[in-house]
Amino acid sequence: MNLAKKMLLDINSCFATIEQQANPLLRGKEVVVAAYVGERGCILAASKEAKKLGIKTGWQVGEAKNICSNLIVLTPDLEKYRYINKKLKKLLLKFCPKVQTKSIDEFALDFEGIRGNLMEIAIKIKEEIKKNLGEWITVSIGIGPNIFLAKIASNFEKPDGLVEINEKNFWEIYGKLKLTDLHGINIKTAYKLEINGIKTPQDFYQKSRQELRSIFESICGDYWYFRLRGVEVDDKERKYKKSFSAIFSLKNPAKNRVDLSPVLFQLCLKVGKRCNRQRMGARAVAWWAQGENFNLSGKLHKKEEMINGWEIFREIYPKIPEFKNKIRKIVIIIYDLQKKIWQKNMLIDKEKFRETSEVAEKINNKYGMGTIFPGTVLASKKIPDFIGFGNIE
Amino acid sequence: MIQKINTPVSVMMDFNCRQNKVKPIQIQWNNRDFKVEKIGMHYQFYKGKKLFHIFSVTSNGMFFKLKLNTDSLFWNLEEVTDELG
Repeated sequence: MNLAKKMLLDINSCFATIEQQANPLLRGKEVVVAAYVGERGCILAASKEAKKLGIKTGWQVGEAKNICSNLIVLTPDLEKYRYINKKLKKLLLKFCPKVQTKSIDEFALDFEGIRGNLMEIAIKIKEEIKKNLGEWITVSIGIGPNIFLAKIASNFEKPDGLVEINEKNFWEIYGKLKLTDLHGINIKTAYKLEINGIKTPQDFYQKSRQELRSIFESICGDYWYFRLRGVEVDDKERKYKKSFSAIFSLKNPAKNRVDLSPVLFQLCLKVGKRCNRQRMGARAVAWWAQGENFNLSGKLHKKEEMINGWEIFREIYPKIPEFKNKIRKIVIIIYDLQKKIWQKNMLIDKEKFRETSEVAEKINNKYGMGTIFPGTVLASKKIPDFIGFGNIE
Repeated sequence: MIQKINTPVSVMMDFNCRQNKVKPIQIQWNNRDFKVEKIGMHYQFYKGKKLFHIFSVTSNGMFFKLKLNTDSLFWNLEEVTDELG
């Protein structure tokens, strides 16, 4: 097994801990941050105190209140979390030049080629976090020969943990884990492995590369063989992504297309912006909306790429049919991404729209989201802001 | 109880160049003075081109979320929390 040179840092109960840091009156109390405060609001983060009662992320507020009647429910304060994320990254860059933001509360550090004891560095990082970010904010740090094992190590001891997985202790740690504790193995995959005689991570480790390849029926088997042996296979930062998606759960269900328009517009802007960052346009877009007892979905292919969120919105909004049921959740995916070509369009109308939308986007970036928006959105009230849970880069 | 307030408020600041620290020291709200005891968090963000500073502070068993608009240099009281159960 390689030397442990990778570190994964994870803020414990991120949103809830940050809220407790900001408001000392919340410390030591059962706090959750939920998408919205109503009974059906999805819990995004639960404080350590709430977790001790068994309240988990992903539950509905109503379920948690059945366990704890004194539960304090807060809605997300996105600017606060973004600020902590940026400040933490800045702090980590003092210790390591290669810091990768994995999500809003998770960072991967690569110490390859850097001298020093990682355990000592991790202790210093924890001290610096307490000093600069706040005394209530705790992090779990995992150290391992690859990101995968560092992630397992960071999950091994929570909260405020510090665990290293190396060639001396990996076998013992594998013995304490279930298959589903391995990042990337869900219940379905665990079942597939069990059928093939792999019941524990130790069994998984003992299988040969050929056996794993035949179980997974793809190169994924090889990846798992290397991952479990501490070889890095997950650290490749993909330069260009093949698709972008965004999802939103509505606090008040949309009863018609007009209600849905601001959320749809926001989602289009979000995916459009991410796509723009890699200087690409999308040729295809798919959407899926979940309602009460019904689903709405569709996709659209264009010969020419849609260059920003405004154009995506303009193309798909007319394609969404009128509906009578209530819609609670909507997902947008853009794919078939192509290099943005700044070719003048023969159709004057389209060219005009492109130019206008590019300017509108610049104005919104400068003066704030929602300064300029399409007339179709005018009828509804507010354009929502939201935060991504996956890779936010 | 946590209450969203959103009202203008008077705040006394301490600009200390020796310690390189800037912090609110007193709030005047509802005809009462509240001496700031602890700053839980201070962060800033841009809304368009406007920069806002947020100070989360406690005073006398109460919590105040204060917002400074650096464009107008006026303060807003965003949120107040008193005794929690």
